[in-house]
Amino acid sequence: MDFISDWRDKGLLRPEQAKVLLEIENDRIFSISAELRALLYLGALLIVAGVGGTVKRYVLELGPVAISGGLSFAVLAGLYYCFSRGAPYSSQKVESPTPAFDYVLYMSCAFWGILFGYLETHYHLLAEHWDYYLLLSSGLFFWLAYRFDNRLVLAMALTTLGSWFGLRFSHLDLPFFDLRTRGLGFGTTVVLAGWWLENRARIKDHFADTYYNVGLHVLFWTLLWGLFDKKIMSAYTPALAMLTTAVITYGLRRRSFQYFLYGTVYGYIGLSYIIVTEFFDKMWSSIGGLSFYFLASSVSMLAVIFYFRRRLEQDA
Amino acid sequence: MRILGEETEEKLHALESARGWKRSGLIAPEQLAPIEAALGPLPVQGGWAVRLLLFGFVLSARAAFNTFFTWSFFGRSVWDGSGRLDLAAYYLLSAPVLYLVGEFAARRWRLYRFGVEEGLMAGALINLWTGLALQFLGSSSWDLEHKSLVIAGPLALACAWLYARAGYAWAAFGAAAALAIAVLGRFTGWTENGVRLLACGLFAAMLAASFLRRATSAHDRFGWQALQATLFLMGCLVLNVKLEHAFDISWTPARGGGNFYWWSFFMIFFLPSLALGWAVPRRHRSMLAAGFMAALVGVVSVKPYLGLARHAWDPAVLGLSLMCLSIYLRRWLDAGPDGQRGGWTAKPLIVGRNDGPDMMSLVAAATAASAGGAGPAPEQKGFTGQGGSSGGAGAGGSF
Repeated sequence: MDFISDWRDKGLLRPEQAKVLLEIENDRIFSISAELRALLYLGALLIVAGVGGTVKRYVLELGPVAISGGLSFAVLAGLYYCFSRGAPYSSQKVESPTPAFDYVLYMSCAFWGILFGYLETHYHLLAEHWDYYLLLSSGLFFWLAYRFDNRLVLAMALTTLGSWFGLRFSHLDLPFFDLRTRGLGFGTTVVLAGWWLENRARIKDHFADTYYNVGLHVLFWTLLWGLFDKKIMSAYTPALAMLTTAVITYGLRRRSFQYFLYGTVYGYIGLSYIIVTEFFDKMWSSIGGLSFYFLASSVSMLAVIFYFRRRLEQDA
Repeated sequence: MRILGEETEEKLHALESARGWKRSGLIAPEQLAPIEAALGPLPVQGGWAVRLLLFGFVLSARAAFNTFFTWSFFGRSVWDGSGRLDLAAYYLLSAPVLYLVGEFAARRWRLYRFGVEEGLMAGALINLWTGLALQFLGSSSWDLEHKSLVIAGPLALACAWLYARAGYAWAAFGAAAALAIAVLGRFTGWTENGVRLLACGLFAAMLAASFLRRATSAHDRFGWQALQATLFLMGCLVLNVKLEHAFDISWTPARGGGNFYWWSFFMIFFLPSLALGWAVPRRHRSMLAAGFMAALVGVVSVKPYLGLARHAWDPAVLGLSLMCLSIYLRRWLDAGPDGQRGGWTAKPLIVGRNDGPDMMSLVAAATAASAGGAGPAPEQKGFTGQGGSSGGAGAGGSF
């Protein structure tokens, strides 16, 4: 690598730095860390999918003792491993003690979910209140995610809480609280919770992205659903515009491309839907106008992204 | 050969390396600025997410422009088929124009692997393909063999040219795929096994040809290695006669037979071993990944090949094996002096750019939910037939 030697000779790199960098760039030191981590991740997903499939497929052949006993043992063994190896709680980021640690905790939580799904299906422990098992699981997952600093489990906690939220309020049959309203309520709550934990409570602020990811996807999809259903003259149009603006602004302020991406793509889908349905309802006769719209809007989007690019690339 | 020259390519590679060192703490943040200054002004490049977004919008604009232009000038004849040749001429003539605009964007505006110029050049390829397809595909005077040659042949050359000029890895993949279609299209009358063998031989020949390029420069190494790995993987996959059944565990296909069948069974394990054995001493990262993936597909194909019943727990057994392998390798490497064995290490060295959405957590949560984690399985009420498991004359559960 000529450029490393060149920079060393010019004094831009210290000799000991240049030596290490040359070894890395020439593959004399060869890291397979990413590959090993990918194997762990893929392995954990396959185990969870395989165990879930086995319980569903062989529920009668295996019998309750084998299923509940086996899953309970797996959950307890996983949790024992985590509590015996895990570092003490901290409100800041805590590194995992072993590479497999995060995945063991993730699998324990997934087995817990499978176990309760099985018990509820066959023994009806909570009967018509079975959705409280989701709330209980979500609470447990939140606690474990914070206790062991695990974002995989945090995402599980949020999605499980979302399932409970949707189910619980569907039973209550409240007026003005249909599925879309519940989606908006849940998404807003999750985003606000993430913001509060990041900026006010300052507890595990690196978790904020997981909250924002889950909450924003729910909010955007719900608003788009509302827009598709109720058309332009509804509260969903200004709500989508406001959310798009807020998310793009946040992405620019934080120099985070993913939020800018969410804002531009979801906003573009919403705007295009409005323009196509409101102005090009006779599509065949106005195909020239329609294609002109997509041409102009794509070029405009390119200009916008190009303009903001510098403010988004953390390394640029 | 490259649009901006080899020196600029080397500098871009050096800049990307320096930024990776900074992210990984190998150099201090204040060391990066003088390095960037020493490299001088360089073309604009984007992270993968920015690049993909820009690429998508350029392709969208291209499609809209094509529709707008052809609709405005050719009218409804574009859609009812009578203006097919006019349309083909438009696409064939617009392809070089788009390409030249892409080159102009790279030279004048210094956008290089930024998504915009890339989208324009990819659009040129799509227009070329569309024009050729409109010209020859509906023609009754050409048979399929010649059609595949006159459509895929020029496309392969155009992709190869694009790779040579701009170094896009996807253009190299496109060239290989188009060449394969051009050649294989001439042998559609062959038996299935014959076509498989021919395809494998073709990918092997392309792989062998790729090794003739001895001095791959540092900036080109990753893309070229990825191309070699893809060619190898494709060669393995086309030999696997049970590939379409490998990932569907809900049923077990019947065991096949014949010399080719058992030879391919041997090869789906032999070839990955060969690739891994070759890639390990050479530290060919892409070939290592391809060899491992091919081995994994081979393992998943064992039961379909042998006609053995598959079980719902098979993925879990495979997952457990992968986790054990990962943990064992990591421990073995960590136990070496300085956490290395022969230069191999399990420690992360260079941290990649973090400029796209993190999907790992969401995929993991979705997998757990679909496995039964987010709600109970469907309720079973009353008697359900078990498909003759109690001697019920073999009636299905739905009987």
